[in-house]
Amino acid sequence: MNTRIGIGARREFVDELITQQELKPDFVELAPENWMKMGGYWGKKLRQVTERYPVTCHGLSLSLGSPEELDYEFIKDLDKFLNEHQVQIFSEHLSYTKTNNAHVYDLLPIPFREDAVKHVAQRIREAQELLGRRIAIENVSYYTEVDAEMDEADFISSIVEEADCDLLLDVNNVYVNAFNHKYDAKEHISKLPLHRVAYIHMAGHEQVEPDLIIDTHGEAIIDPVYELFHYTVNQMKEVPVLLERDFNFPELKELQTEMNNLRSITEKAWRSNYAMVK
Amino acid sequence: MQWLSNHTKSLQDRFAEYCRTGQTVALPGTSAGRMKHYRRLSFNVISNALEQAYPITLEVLTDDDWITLVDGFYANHKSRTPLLWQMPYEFYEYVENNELPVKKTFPFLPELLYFEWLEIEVHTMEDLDLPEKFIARSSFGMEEKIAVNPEYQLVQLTHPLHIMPVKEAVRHPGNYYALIYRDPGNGNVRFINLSALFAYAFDQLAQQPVSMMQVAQRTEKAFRLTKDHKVASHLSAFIHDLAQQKTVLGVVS
Repeated sequence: MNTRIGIGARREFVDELITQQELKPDFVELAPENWMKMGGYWGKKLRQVTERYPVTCHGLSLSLGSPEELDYEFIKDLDKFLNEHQVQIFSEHLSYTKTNNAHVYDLLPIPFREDAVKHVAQRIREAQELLGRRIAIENVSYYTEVDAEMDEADFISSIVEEADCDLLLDVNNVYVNAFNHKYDAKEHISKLPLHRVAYIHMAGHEQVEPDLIIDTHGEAIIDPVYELFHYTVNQMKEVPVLLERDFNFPELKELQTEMNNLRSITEKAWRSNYAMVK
Repeated sequence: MQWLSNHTKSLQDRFAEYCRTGQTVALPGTSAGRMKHYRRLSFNVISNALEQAYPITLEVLTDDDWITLVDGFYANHKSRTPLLWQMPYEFYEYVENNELPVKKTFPFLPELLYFEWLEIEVHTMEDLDLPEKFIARSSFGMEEKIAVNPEYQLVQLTHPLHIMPVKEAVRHPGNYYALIYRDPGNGNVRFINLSALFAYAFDQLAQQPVSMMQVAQRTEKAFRLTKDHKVASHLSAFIHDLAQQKTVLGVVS
């Protein structure tokens, strides 16, 4: 068994991904919005990366949680990009980045409300139909609820069920949210539809106040998040796992060490799962 | 079917509005102390993208002017593009199309932003196809149709921002022409200062493949020149120079 462990491709180390001196991921993830409609130097680098690795994409601007209608022109461009680079998994955030036709380029929290569940599920279904592929939606970090009618786990589960989509489980986000909103992370995970998880994200974060962690992707993964990851993968089937690191880059060998840690945990968990099945 | 209630839509709109303006809003079931982080984080995304796109402008403006400008842009402009890297072009448009106090102090600001944006655009624009029946070549006969490097921008400037530092350029207003192009080998952006005549000639070549002789005739007519001015000869030297600089790439058979 060889669980696929990938890394989010960043311009800062794209050359290293091409030469594979210190980083040896099984696949790479791209944020399509950071590469779409680009030629020249970056277009060439993109082609070199996508020719070398299997590719997944993690969208930023589809804004599945927006009140307004989907951006159909953008979806066309996105579809073209995903097909051109033979993207195997496409995921997006369960959040919104745009209202009143204005992008804010950040992930805002959708109110955990019944009408939002139906509205967002409808938009995901429509986006899946237009893209001709399933979308894995990611549980995002959120720092405040907004007039919530239900808890986060019910919100996520209801949307995944109604939209008939996949789930991208960001284990670090679960940890961050559990800390910030004072709930039990493992209990939360057990309430999620783990059979729909197509993909896992892992990352580091930063504690900025005694009772607040911000999901920065700028630090190494900490032990309690590894521990939660260990717990999680033992509850579910094998899926690809991705390390996110978006800034404050360490020596690249440290990123490889983090990927090795993730591989070690998954292989142990999923090998024993296989043994049980056999 | 419309599922979203006006109440939820309003919550979302007002939350985003707060992020853009920073003006306090009372939303039910939120923590004001936590909401401020959304304002801070989203403002940083906008600010960082603009700082990366406009390093010269950032250096020229005072810190206060820059922050005020970015703050006003985020609050008042509805960014249309889903691609963050393209958002700085909308910043240029915002400055160009609005009466802003900073433009009184820095009247050249729209041009500087546009100039900086063009460097990004030329560096990043999607690869363009060369004409059909293109043949790579570095020397040309007068009757051969010339093929230019399609990845370029030809721009008229009122300050020579492409050949001298901003502080110096603003002291030399006039009519300047800059050819900004992408080196097809390494993707780097390069600048060529052109006279009005050569800018016109290059524009003729770039519209569609034509011969040097045809361009010389058009240029003579446009600038009311005679054969005594030896336009064809000057043009031939100019185009061979452009070929050395990879702005002219060959001929069309």
